[in-house]
Amino acid sequence: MNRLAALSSRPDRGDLAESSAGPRGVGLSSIWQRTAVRNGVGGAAALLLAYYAVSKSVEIGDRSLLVLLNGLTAAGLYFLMASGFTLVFGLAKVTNLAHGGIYLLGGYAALSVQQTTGNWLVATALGALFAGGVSVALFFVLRILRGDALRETMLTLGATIVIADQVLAQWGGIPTDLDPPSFLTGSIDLPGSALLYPKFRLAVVALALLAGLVLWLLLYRTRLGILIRAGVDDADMVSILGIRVPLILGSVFVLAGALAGIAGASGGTYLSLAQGEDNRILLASLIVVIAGGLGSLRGAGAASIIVGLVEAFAQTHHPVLSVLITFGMLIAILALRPYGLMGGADHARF
Amino acid sequence: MPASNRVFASAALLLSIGAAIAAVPPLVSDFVLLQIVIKSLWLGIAGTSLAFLIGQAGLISLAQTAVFGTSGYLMAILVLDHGLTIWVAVAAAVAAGPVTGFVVGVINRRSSDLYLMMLTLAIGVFAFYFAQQYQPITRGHTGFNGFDAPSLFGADLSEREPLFYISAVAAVAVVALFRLVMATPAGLAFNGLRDNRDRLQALGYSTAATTISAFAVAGFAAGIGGVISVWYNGAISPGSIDITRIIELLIVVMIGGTIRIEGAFLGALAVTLLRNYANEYTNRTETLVGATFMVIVLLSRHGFLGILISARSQAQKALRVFRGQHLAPGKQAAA
Repeated sequence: MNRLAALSSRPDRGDLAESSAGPRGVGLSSIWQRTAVRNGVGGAAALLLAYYAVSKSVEIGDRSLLVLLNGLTAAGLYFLMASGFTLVFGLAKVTNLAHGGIYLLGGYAALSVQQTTGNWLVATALGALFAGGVSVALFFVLRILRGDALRETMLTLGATIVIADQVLAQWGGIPTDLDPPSFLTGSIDLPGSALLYPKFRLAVVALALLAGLVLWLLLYRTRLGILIRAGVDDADMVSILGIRVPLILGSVFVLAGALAGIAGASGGTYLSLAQGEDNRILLASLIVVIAGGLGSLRGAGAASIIVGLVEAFAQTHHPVLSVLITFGMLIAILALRPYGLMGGADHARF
Repeated sequence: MPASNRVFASAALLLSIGAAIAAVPPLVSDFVLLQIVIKSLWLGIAGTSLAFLIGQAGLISLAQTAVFGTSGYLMAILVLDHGLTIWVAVAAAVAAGPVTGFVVGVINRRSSDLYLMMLTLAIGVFAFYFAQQYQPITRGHTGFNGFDAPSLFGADLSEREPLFYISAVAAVAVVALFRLVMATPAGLAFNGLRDNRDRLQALGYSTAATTISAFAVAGFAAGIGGVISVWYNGAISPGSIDITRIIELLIVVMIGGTIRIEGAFLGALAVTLLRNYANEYTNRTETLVGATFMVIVLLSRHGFLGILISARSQAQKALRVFRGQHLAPGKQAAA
């Protein structure tokens, strides 16, 4: 308090202010001008990049179809992760940085089930259930700190370390993977070319679309969805109306965990389960939710497609620089749209 | 306090710090000096950058390992790949700290709280993947090995004792720098950023400029930590800046407490001890470290130092020595 008082009792020290944030005329017209400039710059940059991407794609001919499909597959996985992440943030205002760890746990749990039952669907279902369970367990721990967002986030960071180490202890450090279900093994011919594409990867895209549809139905066509959306807007009011908000919060954590578990089982099938996969997927989900607008499900969908496609393109054409390109895209999006692609003024500003 | 008294007090303080530093090597075994003391010193130096950001400016940054790694990598690249004289490379690496911090600050100039954490985490993890992927410059997964620490005034810094002395001097210098910064008007602005952004802005300060400056100042310490860590390890690889290290730095600061910048050294000591001695009892050191961190976050806002300080202030209240007098944390050192 002393320092605050000192700060406010010295109005003469405005030296910093004059140089950087003096009262500029911030009328409506100047805001519109700035928005127009931003949109113009963004549009021009997007056109240039699109031209570059198309010309590069034409160079490799048919194979650019594979790049496109790889991008969409990655997008499917990212959407499964980011949708849960963004829902939990929207409702509980918790940034669950253990989401990558839960992905890996779900994948490994599914692997164990598959080794005993041999059935991919059962394995994925149980893996999702396990991941949902871990997620809700974390939720109960987080409730101890209810309201203190920063400490909650740090707690999830601690959980990341514990989960990664326990995964190493249980399943070892050798990369492994799940076998795809029998009806999705093998490849299909891509029409109009001599190329083959694994069936399972296409199924991941379908799975993500299905998850998106189910989430939409859940949020906009069910009672739980109404409560979730009301909770996002004003949790206190919902609570006053006699609805048990913690129950809704818990179910959203289960849902997000289960989605991460499904993502883990799918990713563990067509990619691999290994140490460090949790961080890779966490970085991708972070980039997706930040670029899409934190808390926005539509934004997560749009951004996962963009991130997936850009990543696949960069990995093909500039393999050494691919991380830099994905990250540069995030910075560019934030420079032009500080709230993310679909975020509005009521969303998080980065 | 008259000026002459101040000079005497500072001289006495410096002398006693010097005496304390000189007393450490004879008192501890070679193993402890190398594995515990020196490691805590460079980890603590890197930690002070985060302790400063969190404690003084209220910015929880997870990108300090990116700054730390940039300096360490830059020095290794300049010496091992470009054959530069080592001290030129060291100067460049130390200078790279504030520059990288500035860049991180520019990216985060509008962010605060949670959003800052998420964005800086993305930067920190990005730095790790960049180091791993960009093989032409960073040598990819293996990183740089066989880095020889330089000599200074005829003392070989790859030897234990010279390395200890230079680390200790660097630690004192970094703490002094932070104290100096906090004594300037900019220091007050950083506190304003932590206490009330809106009021800071209403007073005419630019929160963006203040955020960027805080990151640049903090980058200095992170860069020095990176340089000494490469001297100590003789190597740097993506593993030095992976997510475990990001969280380790946060653990160091949270265990130490953010009220005082020096808390970082306490936290670094605790983490180093835990890592060194825990594996005599369990193979799951990481679980232990992570769980310790979770417990500390659950129990206390300000770590061990917070517990100590609150215990002291409770005792003071009980004794009614400083009745009605609430000293600000920064003033306790001067008292």
